Amino acid sequence: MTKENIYILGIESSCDDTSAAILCNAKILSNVVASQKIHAEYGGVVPELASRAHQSNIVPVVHQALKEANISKTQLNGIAFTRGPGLMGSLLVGTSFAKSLAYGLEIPLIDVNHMQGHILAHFIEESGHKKPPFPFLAMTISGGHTQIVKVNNYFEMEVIGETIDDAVGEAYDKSGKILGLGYPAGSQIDKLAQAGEPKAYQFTKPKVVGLDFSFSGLKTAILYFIQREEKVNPNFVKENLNDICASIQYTIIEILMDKLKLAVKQTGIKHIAIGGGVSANSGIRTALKSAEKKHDWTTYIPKFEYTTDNGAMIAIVGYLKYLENDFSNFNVMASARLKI
Amino acid sequence: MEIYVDNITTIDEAKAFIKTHKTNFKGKIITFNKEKHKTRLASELFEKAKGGKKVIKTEKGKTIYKIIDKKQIIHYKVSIMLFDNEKTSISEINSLRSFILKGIKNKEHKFENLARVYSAHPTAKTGGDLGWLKKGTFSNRFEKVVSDKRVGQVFSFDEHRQKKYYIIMKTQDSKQIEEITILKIEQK
Repeated sequence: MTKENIYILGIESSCDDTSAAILCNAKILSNVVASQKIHAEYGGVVPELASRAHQSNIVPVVHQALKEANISKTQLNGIAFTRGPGLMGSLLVGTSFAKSLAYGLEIPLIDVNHMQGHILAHFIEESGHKKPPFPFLAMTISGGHTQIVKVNNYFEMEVIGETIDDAVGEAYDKSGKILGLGYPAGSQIDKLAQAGEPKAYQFTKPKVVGLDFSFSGLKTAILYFIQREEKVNPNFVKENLNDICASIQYTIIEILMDKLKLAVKQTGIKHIAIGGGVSANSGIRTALKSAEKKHDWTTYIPKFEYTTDNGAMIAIVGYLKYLENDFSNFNVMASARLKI
Repeated sequence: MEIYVDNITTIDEAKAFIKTHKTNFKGKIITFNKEKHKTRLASELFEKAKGGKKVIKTEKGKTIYKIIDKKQIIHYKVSIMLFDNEKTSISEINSLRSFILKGIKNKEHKFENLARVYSAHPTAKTGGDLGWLKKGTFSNRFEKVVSDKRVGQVFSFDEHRQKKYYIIMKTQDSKQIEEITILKIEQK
């Protein structure tokens, strides 16, 4: 008898989104994300609140994913979950749930590196979406990570550059906090920047050698700049918000693009894929598209719902590992600082 | 016993000998394929000419191996995935096959990995490899299609009557492989 289709449940709980997705032969049937609004009032993710919210969300989210995919849990062939990196309490919820369900259903358990998920989300079958050929460079940009990875194969990846302090998403959020914007601030700065002048104000770019990034200095520079200007004009931020946002966005994109150009120069690889929540940023997308013409790059941008933390990206890695017969033991532990 | 065996020159004579002397000797006819059988005994027997023999004496008695026949036979090598439509419709099978073919052609997945996961054939565990097949093992139509393909080519093949649907990869060009037919006689 034909084995027909392979169904994988992907569970993501590394930070503040509880997500479950059902994949069938590299196609996503459902991708349910429960975002935790509670962190907004604290201006950032509170780890203990996040893990409690994951506990409340995980059963209904998985149930909803199965319902939307119109399959029963007994049809599942494997369960993939985010092992790390991420917040330990959050990871433990997804890990324990995945282990228990896989054990109960007597199906393979597959541990997934969250960062590989962001990169391999490009291999989800989507009509009209082209997949990057190996080798390619992947830039993962989010609230928790900023990396440039040389991807030689599905599971042969090398981090060639990463942030030495804050992630790019943090730079957006902390800038937003200085400007009095809500959390998360990335999408607000992006929106406000579109009506502003990118070169209205100049912020010094960090001088970090090689392919590593730094964003903590930029945040301080913005803070001192605003404090200085507000001494002169208390309404400075209010009156110039679009220009300030456009200038911050311009500087951040310049930092990212400078490193990407250097990575291309060093590796000779001109296929560039991006992933992570910040890849939804319109400025970054535009900069990458213009680099295609200017530098002869081919860029790959995932569908919006696969950029932020989501179960679909975990499910596709689970599927690829399933094909390789690469399963986990049931004594596998969550790992907050898991490396690629 | 050896005198009797020395006079045997054909497979029919060997079969008749086994039947006639079954009370005194334990006999059987075995075939060794040079690509498949790599034991020390097989290698020694391949070194011998037709009619040659090897005698092994042990405490229990004597075992004789006599080369009755030696010839070159055309073999070919393919790996397969089998899909049957007992529970799955042909349109579903075709949809799955087109997904698999695309994945292999775009070099996204290895044939053996997909065979292990999707094939209903017993070779699924070993990635679909059927090993070297003697010409005539499968239907003429199947063998004609395989012979027309290039090594590495992956394609669909259907046996509608048997309700069997395949994805096949030609893994080696056909070639002559030496086969020896041996009469093995053990003293009881």
